[in-house]
Amino acid sequence: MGLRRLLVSVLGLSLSASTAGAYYHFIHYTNRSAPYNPVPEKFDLNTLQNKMVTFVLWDTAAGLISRPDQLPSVLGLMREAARVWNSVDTSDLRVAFGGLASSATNENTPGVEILFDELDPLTLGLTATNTQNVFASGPTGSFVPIRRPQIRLNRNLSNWTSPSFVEGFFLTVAHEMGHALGLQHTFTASLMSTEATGRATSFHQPLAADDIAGISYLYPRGNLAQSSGSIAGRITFPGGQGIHLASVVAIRPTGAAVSAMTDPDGRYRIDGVPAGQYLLYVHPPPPSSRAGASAGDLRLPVGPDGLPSAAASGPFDTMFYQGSQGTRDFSAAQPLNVGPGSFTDNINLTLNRRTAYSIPSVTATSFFDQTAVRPGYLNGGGTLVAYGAGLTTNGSLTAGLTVNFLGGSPLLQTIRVYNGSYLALDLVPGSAFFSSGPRHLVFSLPTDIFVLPFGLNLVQSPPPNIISVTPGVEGNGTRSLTVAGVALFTETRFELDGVPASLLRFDQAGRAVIQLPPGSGGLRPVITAFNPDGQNSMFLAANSPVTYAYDSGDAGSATFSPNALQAGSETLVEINGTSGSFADGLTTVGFGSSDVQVRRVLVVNPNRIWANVAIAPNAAIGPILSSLVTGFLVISQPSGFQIQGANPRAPLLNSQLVNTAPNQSTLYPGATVILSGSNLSNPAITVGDRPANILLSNPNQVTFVIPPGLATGPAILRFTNGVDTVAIAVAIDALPPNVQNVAGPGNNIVDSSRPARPGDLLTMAVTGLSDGLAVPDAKRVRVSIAGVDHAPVGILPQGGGHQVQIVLSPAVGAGQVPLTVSIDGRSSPPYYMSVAR
Amino acid sequence: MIRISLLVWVLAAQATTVSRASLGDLVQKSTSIVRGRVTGSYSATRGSSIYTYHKIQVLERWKGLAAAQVEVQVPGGTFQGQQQNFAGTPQLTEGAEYVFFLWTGPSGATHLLGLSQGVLDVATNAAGESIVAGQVTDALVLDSATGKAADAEPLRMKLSDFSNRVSGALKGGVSAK
Repeated sequence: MGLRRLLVSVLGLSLSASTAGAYYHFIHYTNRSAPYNPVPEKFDLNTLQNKMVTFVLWDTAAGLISRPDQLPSVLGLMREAARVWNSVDTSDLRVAFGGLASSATNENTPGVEILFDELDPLTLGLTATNTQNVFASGPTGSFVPIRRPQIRLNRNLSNWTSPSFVEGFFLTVAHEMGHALGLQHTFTASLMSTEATGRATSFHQPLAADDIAGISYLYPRGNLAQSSGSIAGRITFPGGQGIHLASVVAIRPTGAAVSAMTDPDGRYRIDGVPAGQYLLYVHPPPPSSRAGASAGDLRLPVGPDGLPSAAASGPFDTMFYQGSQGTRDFSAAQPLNVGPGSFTDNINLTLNRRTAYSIPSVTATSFFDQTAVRPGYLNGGGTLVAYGAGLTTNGSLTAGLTVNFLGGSPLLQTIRVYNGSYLALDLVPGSAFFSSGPRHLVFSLPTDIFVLPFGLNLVQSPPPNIISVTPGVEGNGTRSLTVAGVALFTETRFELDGVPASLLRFDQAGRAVIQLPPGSGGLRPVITAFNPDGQNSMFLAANSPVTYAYDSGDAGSATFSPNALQAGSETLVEINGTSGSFADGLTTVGFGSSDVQVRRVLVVNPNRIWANVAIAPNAAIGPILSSLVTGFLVISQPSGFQIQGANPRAPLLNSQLVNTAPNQSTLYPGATVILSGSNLSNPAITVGDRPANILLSNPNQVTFVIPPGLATGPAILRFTNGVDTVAIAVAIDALPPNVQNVAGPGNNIVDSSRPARPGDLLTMAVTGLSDGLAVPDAKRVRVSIAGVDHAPVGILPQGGGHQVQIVLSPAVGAGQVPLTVSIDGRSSPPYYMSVAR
Repeated sequence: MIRISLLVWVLAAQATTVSRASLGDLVQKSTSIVRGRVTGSYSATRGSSIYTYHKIQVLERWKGLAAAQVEVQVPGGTFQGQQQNFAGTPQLTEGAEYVFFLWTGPSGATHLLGLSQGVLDVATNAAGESIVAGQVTDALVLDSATGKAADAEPLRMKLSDFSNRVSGALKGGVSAK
């Protein structure tokens, strides 16, 4: 159904009594009195190819940004930011970065344009959703369609300063992308947080639970409602008047925080809450002193007339839920148990108005040498600095102020005031052990409290520190860097100005050896290490970062074939380069248009790529800009590619082939697979130039067998219906693992007469774990018995396969239970094994 | 009076990331600081981007080249029925008086430093004294020193005090923190 037909007038909407969702989105209301029906702004999935929103960067970027040599970094970080939003399993929206786009390209599919602009030095980025107060309806209710938001970023990249340009730019882009997708601000230190509390997310963990709940509310996928819980209620003043735009936060003492805002009647509903035990508190958004500006920097909901609805209430008391009266004592708060699919209603609070905010907002910072890092990171103990109005009075600690940490912390030994308005919280390791992870701070005054989510991260190691790098060459001829430093682990991610550098190994001296991304002579990128605990090497090296100077390399050229594609088709594009720099994970292809979608990129060799490209049926006809980024090298071809009109008789292939075998998601020689599409009559198929045996066919589906004996790796699938021929690229994987038998104690084969028992060391004979006898890393191998994961305790070569050893978990029940072994997503068929207890 | 930037039917996402600036930062990073009156505005496009240009009649100048009038470029606006709004851009009232921290970029265009942070209202208090008050930006605010999110603070003081502090800061003798 076309968008035009979906658009309905405000008056035509049916009303319901639902309350606001799990987050604060850009909300429109269909009426000006209770019950309120929130209508969020979001993309219409029906107008998107494969439910995917494409972000593109204007090709003027190269000439605009202050350091053109950093364009590849910018492109790489935008790609990573898009991946962040694409990675949310509970969201049905797919997100991609489409590379460079010509401003002259016409597009018909909704998408997002990013451009660099001259902005003042203090403004890093802006986003306009460009919606209108016009409503549409979809399977999950009414919404206001977002069609073509615009993100403007500051062209002067030096404005992203310490501690890490990579992290700062990446988080800004990801944050602005979130706005473009329909998310407004939170007060829970998530990626979408306002200035009031700051972000506690990092390059390693860019999304918090609130971000995930927010995007999932807009674009729900699968069984979100069954896998998470909901909390709802009403927040009122004494006398029953609803409090508008109160922030209601469900928070785990050492974990997630998910929030919602109340509607003008005081009603709220927090959806997408991960299972667990939560405390719930309600607080006013931080103030704004400017007339006309809303508290908390929120855009007020829009009424049916397009005008902002009622202003936010406030200020009012901040309270934890203890029953309807609330409490300022978090230790007296009533825990709420949230389970999968649970719905806890009537969590109501009545709160008193206040004449002023006692503590409007607080930030917490730790210092590494002279570098301030927010939120604070402490390893064992140290000083956390808190800043905010109300914490001090006339240069002294405000009377009665105490500071506590939900979930415990090292001992808070002293609270010192310095510079008149800063609090130094000196924490020392106590006798109690505290697990690492986030801590939420509670600042308590005799008559009010302020909760700062994720103000502190307790970590178990110092920040990563890169001391030196040494260039080298690996045995296979690839160039590498050997990184010497401290706190570098196998989970550490290395980036050269935002271009990822894969960890190859640790050498005997304990130094990390990373792959050098393709680059060109003269580049001097900063090398940064990011650890999973959120710390990065720029904490200690912001003023003297370690760099590497490229001495050679150039982008070369690339040719795209074919260079014209038909609307409504999905086909193979072959890209041949000259620089020998194409590599899996480092090379991306884009066509700079939301009408064109790159569905898969397969690197055939360092100079050849096969890409499956889908063109929207309603794509705008005309030239588009193709681009390729590999490491620091960028190749773009203005007007080198054309979209042509549709050929209604041509076969349309969906490149996502489906393996008919249960549990199998890969394609391998001999596998029976289903190809779907249209115009598939009279099929003839070859894969890797070998004819495929066709089992069944109709105009929309063909079932065939991947030719046995086919080599693993990329292959071209050619389909002809006797009139037209279309090609797509497929990846042929090795045969999946297969469990031959399972031996228990005494090396006896497990069967019904000698069942396995919990605690037994079991040895499985498995084929297909690797091409030869090479022993795969045990971390790649998963063993599942009756749905219970078992980590291998040993893997040995044996015969033509391997022996995999595990200790049977007591969580496995008795009976004939299925056992599967998988590696890198390839899974064995179930092997049934007898278990007794 | 006319609200220049108040748009209704196309809606701005509160979606702006701005570095936090102290008064000292504003003084240091601006290329000119003026007190002026808004005399008019218009919008124009560049590609798919809309900009609004505000004409400012200069009444007093603390920093920058002398000019009787400056034109300030602000992201977003309305042009030929197309509207584009960005959060954090200030609402300027035609005929009203403000203090502007301005930054002129390499293109020659002059911008408000930090969007709303670069505009201070000029008003009269109960004692009849002129005061300046900062507009709190409705945007995500980052601390320029750390790159992390920070608080936004309003600014409010007498115009005479403001003038002294800015002049002092420019001479390097008085802190403009």
